[in-house]
Amino acid sequence: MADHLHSEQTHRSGFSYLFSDKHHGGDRNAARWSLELSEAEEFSVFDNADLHDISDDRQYLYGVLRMGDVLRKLGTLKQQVAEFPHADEGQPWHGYPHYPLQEVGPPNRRGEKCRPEKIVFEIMERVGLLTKRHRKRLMKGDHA
Amino acid sequence: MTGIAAKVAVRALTLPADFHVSWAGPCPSWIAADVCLGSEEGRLFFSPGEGRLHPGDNRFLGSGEAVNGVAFLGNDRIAISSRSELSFMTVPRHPGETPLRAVFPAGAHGVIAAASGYFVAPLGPSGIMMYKPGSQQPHPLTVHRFDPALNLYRAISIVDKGAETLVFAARSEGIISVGALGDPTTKLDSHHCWESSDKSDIIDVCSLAPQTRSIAALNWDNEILLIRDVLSETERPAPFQFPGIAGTAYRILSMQGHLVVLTSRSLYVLEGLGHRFLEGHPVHREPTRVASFPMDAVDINPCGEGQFLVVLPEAVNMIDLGLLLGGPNGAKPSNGAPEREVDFVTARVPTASNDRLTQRSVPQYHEPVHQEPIHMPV
Repeated sequence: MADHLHSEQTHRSGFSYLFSDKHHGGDRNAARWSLELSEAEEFSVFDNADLHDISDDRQYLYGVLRMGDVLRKLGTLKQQVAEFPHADEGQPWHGYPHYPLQEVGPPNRRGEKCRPEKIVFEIMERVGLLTKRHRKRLMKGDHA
Repeated sequence: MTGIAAKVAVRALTLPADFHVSWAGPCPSWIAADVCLGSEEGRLFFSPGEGRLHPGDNRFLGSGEAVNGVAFLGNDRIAISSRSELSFMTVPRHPGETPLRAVFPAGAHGVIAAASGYFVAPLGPSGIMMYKPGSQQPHPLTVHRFDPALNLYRAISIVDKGAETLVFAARSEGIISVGALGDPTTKLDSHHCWESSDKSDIIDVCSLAPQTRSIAALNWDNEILLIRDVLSETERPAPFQFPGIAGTAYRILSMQGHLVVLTSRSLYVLEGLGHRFLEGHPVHREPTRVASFPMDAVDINPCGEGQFLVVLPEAVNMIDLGLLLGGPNGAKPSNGAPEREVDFVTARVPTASNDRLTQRSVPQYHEPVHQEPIHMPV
C-alpha cells in the first residue's frame, strides 16, 4: 500500500490524515493496523481523538473504537488504543495501534513507549468513549 | 481469614472515601486483616481496619499508577505491581522499626508469592522477574528473558510432592511451565510449552486442585483448556467451549471443584467441571450446569475457602460461591445473590480439536540478568 491521504479532514481542527504504508504492513517491525479495520474506521478513531482533544503533554492524540460495550481490536497485536504523534502545523497526521501491547510486539513497540498516560483514559471515559470498566482495565495494563 | 462470616451470598466491602479500587485480594494472617485493596492511584488499603499497618506506613506506588497485583511473603514483606513498576516493602514488626522500600522500574501484569520464597512477576515480553527479599545472595533480583521473547501475562505457582512449578499464560505463545526452582538466580531448569497452531490467545491460568500439577487455562475467545499434568510430555490439553459464555474473556478461577469464568458481560460458574475432569468423567459428553450472573466486573480473585472478591467499577463485593449457587439440590440462592440464569450445557469440542495443541520446548533463555532494585527513602 502506498502512503495516501484520507479524503476528509477532521471535523474540529481540519487535520489531514495519512494512511501510512509503514503501519499497514510495509514495515514488519512497526505496529500494524488490523486488516479488519476499514480506512473510514481508522480515520474515525483519529477524528474522535481530535474532536475530544484526547491528548497527553506531548500533544499526541489517542483514540479507541467503541462498538456498544466492546472495544474493537485496532491492531494486529490486539491493541485497543491508537496513538497519533503530534504533527507540525500544515503537515498530515498519522497513527498506529498502540496499547495494551498484549503479544510479543516488534522490538520498537516494547517497554515504556506503549503506555499512555492515565489522563488519556480519564478523558476517554469522560466523553463516553470508554466505560468505567474499560478504563479501569486499561489503566492496569489489561485488555478491556 | 479472620472474622469474615459470610451469611449472605454477596457482601459489599466498605471502602474509604476517594479510594478508587483497581485490585482486591486476600491477606495473610500476619497482616491481621481479611482483604487487601489496591487503588487506581497506587495506594493500598486493608479491610477490616488497617491490620498491622498504620496510616503513616509507606504503602504506595511512587508512580501513582493503578495497582494490578499485591503479594505477601514471610511475615513482613509486601510486593505491589503496576504497569510501570514493582515496589517491595516491609511492614514494621514493632513500633519504631523503620520500614524498607525498594522499587524495580519495570511494568508487570501482576505479582505472586512463590512457595520457594520468591516474588515472581510476569513482565510481558520483558520476561520473568524473580526477587528473594532478605536474601544473602549477591543478586536477589533476577530477570529471566527468552529468545524469541514470550509475552508472559499471568502467573501461578503450583506445588506437587514438594516440587514447585510456575505456570504462565503467555498469550499467543500458549501455556509456559517452568519447573524445579532450584536456584532461580541461575538459568531456570526445566520447562514445557503448550501452544496452539491457531495461536490461541491464552489470557489466564489457574490451579485445578492443590498438591497436583493440574491446571485450567482460558483464552480470549472463552475456550477452556484443562490439563491433568501440566508437565506431562504425553497428555494434550483438553479444549472445551460452552455455547452461551459470551463477552471478552477476563479471568478463570477454580473453586471447590467448580470453574468460575469472568468475561466482559457476566460471571459464569461451570458447576463441578474441574472436579469431574480430575475424576476422569467424560466431561465432553456430560451436560454441565452453567450458572450465569450478569455483571459489569473489572476483575476477580479468590479470597478464602469458597469465597472470591469481585472488583466492580464503583465497589468491591465478597461472594460466597456456595451460597451464590444455592443448595446442593439447586435450591434458591440465599438472600443477596444476584439474578442468575441456569442452563445445562454439553461442552462443544472445538472443530480443530486438540490436535492443534502441540508441545515444544520453551525458547532458550538469554543469560539471566541480575539487577538491583532501587532502595527508596521511606
